Amino acid sequence: MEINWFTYFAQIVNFLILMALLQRFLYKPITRAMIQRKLQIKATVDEANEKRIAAEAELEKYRQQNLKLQEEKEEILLKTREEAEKERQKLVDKIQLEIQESKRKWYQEIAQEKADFLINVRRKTLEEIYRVLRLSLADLANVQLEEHIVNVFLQRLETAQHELANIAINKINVSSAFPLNNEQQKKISQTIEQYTGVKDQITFEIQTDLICGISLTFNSQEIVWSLENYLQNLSENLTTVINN
Amino acid sequence: MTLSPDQVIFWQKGLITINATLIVTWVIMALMVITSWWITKHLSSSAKLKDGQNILEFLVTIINEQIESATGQKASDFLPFIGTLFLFILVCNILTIIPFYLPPTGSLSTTSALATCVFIAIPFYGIKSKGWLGYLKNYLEPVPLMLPLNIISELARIAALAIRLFANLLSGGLIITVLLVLMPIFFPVIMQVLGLLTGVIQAYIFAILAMVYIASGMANEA
Repeated sequence: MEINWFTYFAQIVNFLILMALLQRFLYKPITRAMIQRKLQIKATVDEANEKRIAAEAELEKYRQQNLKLQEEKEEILLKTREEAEKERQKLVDKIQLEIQESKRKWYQEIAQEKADFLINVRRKTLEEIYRVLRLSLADLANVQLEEHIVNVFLQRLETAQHELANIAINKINVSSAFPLNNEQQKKISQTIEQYTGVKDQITFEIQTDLICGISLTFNSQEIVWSLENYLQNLSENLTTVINN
Repeated sequence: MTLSPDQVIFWQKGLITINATLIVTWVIMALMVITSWWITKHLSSSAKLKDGQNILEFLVTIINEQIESATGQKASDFLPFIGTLFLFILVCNILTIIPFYLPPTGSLSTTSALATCVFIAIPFYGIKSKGWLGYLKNYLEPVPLMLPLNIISELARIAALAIRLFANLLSGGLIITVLLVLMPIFFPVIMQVLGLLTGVIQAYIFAILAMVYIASGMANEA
């Protein structure tokens, strides 16, 4: 349990030698390797950080581009929608116009059809009335209707005799809805001559659209008697009834 | 019964004595240096390490951390001294697992030598850090009258350092020897394991106390 002084000093020396050897073979190389590794790791981390920053910048760039594309897309979409809306409105307007046009044509056609129908009705009515009247007059008086018409026409001429006397007349045309016999023509010619003084310049013709009447034409003037006026009234009344 | 490796003498001439302490110390020194040289021969600074380098780096890192936590100073100045103390004592103590091995740390000569090294290291680092006057002033604190007591305290803690390690190792070896005689099976194995643990702890305690003493010598207020 005592100290061996030689061993004691030898161990001090041993320890110092061991310390120097370990410093040379252990601590220095290991510490150097660790520092180098730390530097390498730091360099790697720095590089990774740089790459990360670059990647983030790239990402931001793409994000911005994406945003821009999105905006452009929305803009195009909006523009397209507006154009489509305009086009739609245009088509709608066109269609409405066409509809209105069709409607107008249709109304026109209906109006035309109505007018044709009324004309037809009027003509038919007049024909019927004429036929009925003719038959009635014939049955009632045993006189031809034409004869009566001629008489009425001559009365009309008589009424207008003063007007006729004041006009210089060269040529007179007598139109009738029915053929006048010689006696009737003579009667009329004599009456005209009496009032106007015209004798040879009187012509007779048949005008079928002059319903149940006789007309006298001279110097672009006309003296007419026919059922036309009566029938006109009848026609107007019928038109009102049909319209209602 | 052999209590200390100092008693196993191989050769002696006058004062010069070659005993088991020295022989074993040399063997351990050779072992440590050759192992270190072998491992550090091809060091890698890449992320992939060999096992040996990994172990050595682990040890150096642990020692550095301990030094820094104990002193709060940069570890590189103390690493050779404290690291060698710790590793030498650790290897000496761990090898007790080998039968008939006599640890050099079981010799009071060795532990005293190591404690003396610490005793020298304290003023060495203290003067290096604070200068001659600054260091010597520590012995006059808090009043000059305390000088003898301060010197005694310094010597006592060094003596305690030496005796603590020696006694622990000696007692460990002694207990095992006694138990081998009384109960040769099973129980000495447990004591051997316990001794191994004690050995590692003693290496740690010795190194840490040395570090604390050195740090206190370097402190501004002793």
